[in-house]
Amino acid sequence: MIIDGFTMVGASINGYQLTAEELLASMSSSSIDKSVIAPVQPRTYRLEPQNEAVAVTQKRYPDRFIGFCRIDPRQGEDAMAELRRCVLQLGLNGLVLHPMEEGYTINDAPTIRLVREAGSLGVPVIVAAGYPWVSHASQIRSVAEQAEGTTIIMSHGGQINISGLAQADAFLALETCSNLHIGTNGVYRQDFLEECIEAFGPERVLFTSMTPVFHQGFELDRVHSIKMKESDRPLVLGDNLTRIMDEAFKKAV
Amino acid sequence: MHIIDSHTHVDEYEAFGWFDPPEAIIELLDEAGIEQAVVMTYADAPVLEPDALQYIRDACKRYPDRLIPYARINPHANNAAALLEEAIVDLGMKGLKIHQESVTASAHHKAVVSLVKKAAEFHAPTLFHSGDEPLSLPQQFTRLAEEAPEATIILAHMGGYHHTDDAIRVCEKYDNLLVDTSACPYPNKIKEAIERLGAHRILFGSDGPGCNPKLELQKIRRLELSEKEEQLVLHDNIVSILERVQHTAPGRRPH
Repeated sequence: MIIDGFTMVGASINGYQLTAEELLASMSSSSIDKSVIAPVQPRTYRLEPQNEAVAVTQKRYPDRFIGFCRIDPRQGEDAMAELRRCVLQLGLNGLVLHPMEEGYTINDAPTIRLVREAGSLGVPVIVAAGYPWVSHASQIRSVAEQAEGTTIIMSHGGQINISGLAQADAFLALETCSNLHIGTNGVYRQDFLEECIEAFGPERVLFTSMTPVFHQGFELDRVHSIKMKESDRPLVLGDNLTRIMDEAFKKAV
Repeated sequence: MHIIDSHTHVDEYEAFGWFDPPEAIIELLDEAGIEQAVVMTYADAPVLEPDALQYIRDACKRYPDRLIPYARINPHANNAAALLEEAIVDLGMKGLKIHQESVTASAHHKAVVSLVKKAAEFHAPTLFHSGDEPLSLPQQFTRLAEEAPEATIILAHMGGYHHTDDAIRVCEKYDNLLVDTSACPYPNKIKEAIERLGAHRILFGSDGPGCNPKLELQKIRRLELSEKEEQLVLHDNIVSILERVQHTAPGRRPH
């Protein structure tokens, strides 16, 4: 089963948009069985209605979509309450944090509280990772150290740098924090993915497209181009996400 | 179709942890069905790697029908201009590569401008890194484009992750700027660049072996270009640039 571990639906204030139906069409054209869907940042700046819309879409297509909520940790207690509402009432299965678009730093105290709470509720956290100043790998590593009970997936392989200069930080984060994983979207140098798989095992790498920012079909091409044992490829393509969600649920307090 | 990858590397550079002898890129080119590739080192001659030019020359000697040499030189070196002349006239190299983060100078630094103008004396192109780093931003190329209008300047990676629009904008403004597609993660932006700049301003490159040439070629195939556009991007554009390179200098015999 192929599961895209990170996509976004809705009309973003940042200029990109994708409907659930467009995503389904994209998935069908690439033979992708399921996608994690999360909200975009809307023009209204209000994420709560977007979380509800994702929950409705998940309910409408339960075999195709896994809904994650998106929350701004700077909302403090309201953010904590929204996370509980999304998981316990709306039935969403994870938390997406996008420090770049929302405008906060991933390792600030309110974010760490929220990440810990996600672990307590039994859901993983996806971080839009690698953005300078707000979510680079060393900052996420700090979060992972302070929220050991939470499984965290870093998009972009944990690093956004087209010289490869941030790869060492992402590598170190994976090396030191077993609760950290990386998504494959947009990763510069396929050999970085290969080195991570060799060093930390195929269990730590997940197919993520982050469409519509990235092209879902091409991002799947990227995973297929990784030189790795064919018997391990299903882990990256979907099995790891399933396992992570199961394990997180079992660990729920 | 004969395909030329306009941006790849051969080097064995311990400091970066990247060990890519020529066989690494040859194997990947074969896998992708790519006939030839422009190659350069990861490190700059002569500061980080005194023998960088010789390494490239030897690699291309081993695969003369497959590999096309560029000289990667640090413009701050006292003998940078002389090294470039030696590379082009004596070693038969076809272009200059500058990675601004590696040499800690932006594209408008006077040492960089001077070396680019030296390359232009031979009609040799300069391939620059471009991306999101502080010394590699596309808008930093405007001054260079104005000061060296005779130079052919290629922005690798099309501005990286967050400066693709800027890369297209500066190319729209200056005719002597081109882009290569290497590692650009957005197929739709490459398509947009072709529509706005024309296919004659876009070069296929992979940045292999780290970036897989087969995957990078798949990215171009996904664009569903016309046969003529694909021919330009995958072959004709880089050929027309390289054909113009002159391997002679006053008082020097060609290689």
